[in-house]
Amino acid sequence: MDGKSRSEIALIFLFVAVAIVFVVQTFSFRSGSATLFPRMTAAVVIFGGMLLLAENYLPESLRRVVAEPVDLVDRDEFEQTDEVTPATEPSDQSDESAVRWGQLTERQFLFAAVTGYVVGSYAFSILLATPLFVAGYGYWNNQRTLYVAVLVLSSVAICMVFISLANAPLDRGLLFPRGIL
Amino acid sequence: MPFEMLGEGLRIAFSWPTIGWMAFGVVLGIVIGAVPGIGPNLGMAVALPLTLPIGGANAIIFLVGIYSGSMYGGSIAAILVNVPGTAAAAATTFDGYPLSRQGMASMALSASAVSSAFAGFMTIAVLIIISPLIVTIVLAMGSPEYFLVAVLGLSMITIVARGSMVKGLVAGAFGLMLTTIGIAPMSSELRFTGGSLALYDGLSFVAAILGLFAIAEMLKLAGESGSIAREDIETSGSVMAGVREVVARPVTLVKSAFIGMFIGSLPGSGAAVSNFVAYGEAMRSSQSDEFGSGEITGVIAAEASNNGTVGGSLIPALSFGIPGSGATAVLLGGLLMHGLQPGPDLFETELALTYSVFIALFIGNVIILGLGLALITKTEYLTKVNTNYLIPLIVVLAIAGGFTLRSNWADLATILLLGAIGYYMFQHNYSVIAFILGLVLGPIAEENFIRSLQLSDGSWWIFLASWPSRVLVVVTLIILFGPIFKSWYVRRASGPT
Repeated sequence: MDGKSRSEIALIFLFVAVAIVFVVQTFSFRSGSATLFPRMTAAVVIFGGMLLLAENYLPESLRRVVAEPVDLVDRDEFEQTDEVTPATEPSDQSDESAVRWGQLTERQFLFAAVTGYVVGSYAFSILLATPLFVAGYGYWNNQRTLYVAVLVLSSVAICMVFISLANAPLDRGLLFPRGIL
Repeated sequence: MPFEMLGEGLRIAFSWPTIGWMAFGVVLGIVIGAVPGIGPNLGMAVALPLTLPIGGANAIIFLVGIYSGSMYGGSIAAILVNVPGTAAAAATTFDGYPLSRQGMASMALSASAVSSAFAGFMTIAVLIIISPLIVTIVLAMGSPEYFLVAVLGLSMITIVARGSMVKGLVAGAFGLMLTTIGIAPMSSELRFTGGSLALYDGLSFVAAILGLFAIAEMLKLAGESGSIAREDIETSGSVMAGVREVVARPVTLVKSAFIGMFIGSLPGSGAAVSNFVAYGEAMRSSQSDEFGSGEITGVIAAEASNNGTVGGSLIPALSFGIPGSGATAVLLGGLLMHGLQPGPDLFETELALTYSVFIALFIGNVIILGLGLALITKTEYLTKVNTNYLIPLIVVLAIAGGFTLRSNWADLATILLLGAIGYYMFQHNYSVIAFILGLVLGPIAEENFIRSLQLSDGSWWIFLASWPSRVLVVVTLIILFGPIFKSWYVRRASGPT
């Protein structure tokens, strides 16, 4: 498994583990036709996942098939190396210089915030959790209060559009089963 | 009958508010395409739940408008800041940005608008002309052929997506596997629900799309702060010069448009491929050695091909339910969400709707041409949008929209989990599009697979019983094993090193 990052190995293990659980569960099904397709697809995931995990231990010919990209178009043939580069390279802030607040990167903070948003929505309702999420994200990014206020109002307006046009129960949560509106 | 349906399609496409939704979709698509980091997949995904109240025909025409508009919109960022707004405009950067640096941005942008629009006109006209043939083919297909076309679509994506074929297969099979959650087709068996009522109807395809496109894309974008444009961008140069350049290159325009249409019509491939193929062909057939440093032919070829792809990609999407790209996968999600089943239905009972989509695309290209030429000097503002403002609003649209569809909390969990998985898949070059294709094709593939086996009393020979089936099996095997054989042959020919 040399050469693969821990997160990729975790991703492959996740694929394979879910596939194994699916295969095991099919043995409890009563209908034969219901087992066939999940088993076939899970078999491809397990076999492919194992090949990817064992990539560096495979014979060279097989390793090439597993590891090397197949592309209809050789894009590199066209790509330039001269002065024509993006005006400003997007700065990837996943590096250590970008960490703030207890070593959280931008991405980690966003994922934590979205997770909190989903949990908050389940507990209090999407309508209440939305302004909290948008304001929290705005302040964490050091945006001006006016911009944050506009973003919060815009996000609440989005919720109200769904509530009024699609009759969506966005004002309901575990603590407010009858809604807050 | 087709002429009557064509007339009915014309009536639907030109009726109000349908034409208004088309115009709004195209304008939104241009904006979405022009803002780097958004693109048609994400834009259409977050717009999906918003289409709930507007009805099936309007929703599909609105989504097609976004798709078509974003193909042109992608060229704006490609030309002005050398960052393609969409993958479909990647080849446009090669000559578009050098032209912009030489003070000819307006010429490049107008050439892009004109070639996009005319490629759209031509390919949609051909699509309408050949639609009776498509109807004949679609109606001749049975369950085994539908299953095999789905397998072919998945096989194609493994080579169209950049990266390892095995990674593509694993991603696609994982997507297929997840569609088996819920009640099994043609039986009452509950599968993989863990006893939860929330999973009885399976995972929501729209929630999966929102997770994979909206959340995963925002996680990607979160590491890229602010706007990627410079403050000194100027849209200088002559607008009419761009029009004249396109008119002076009819062969490049027509050839690139139909390259785009052909590649778009192949299951599993899309504009991300066609713009490179058309650019390569333009380069090969030209005497110019200016390609890569400001050759307008390169811009025309790339832009004509990506709008040509839109018409082509509707063929497998509407006829077999097989998307050619992420954007058509979202479009299929829209069809299913509004109770429209891709396949024979769209070419029998819903033929007028299908024609109205084609005609609406035609109208959309008129709007692209008009807006593209009229607002060229204003387009630079679109590339200056600060992504920090977009991220929270797109997340809110995804969460609120995802919940609105079924009022099911499992959908929010799906959005969150698949958002995280999608982000890591992107990080490690696992094709998210293959995963989405698996999610789209799963129900179609399983239902036709089981029905075929029931028809044949369990015999797998039914998948080789007809000539179309045999051709599909052979093509799939060539796609899957061709690269392996080619690699072995090349090594054998070159001998031991």
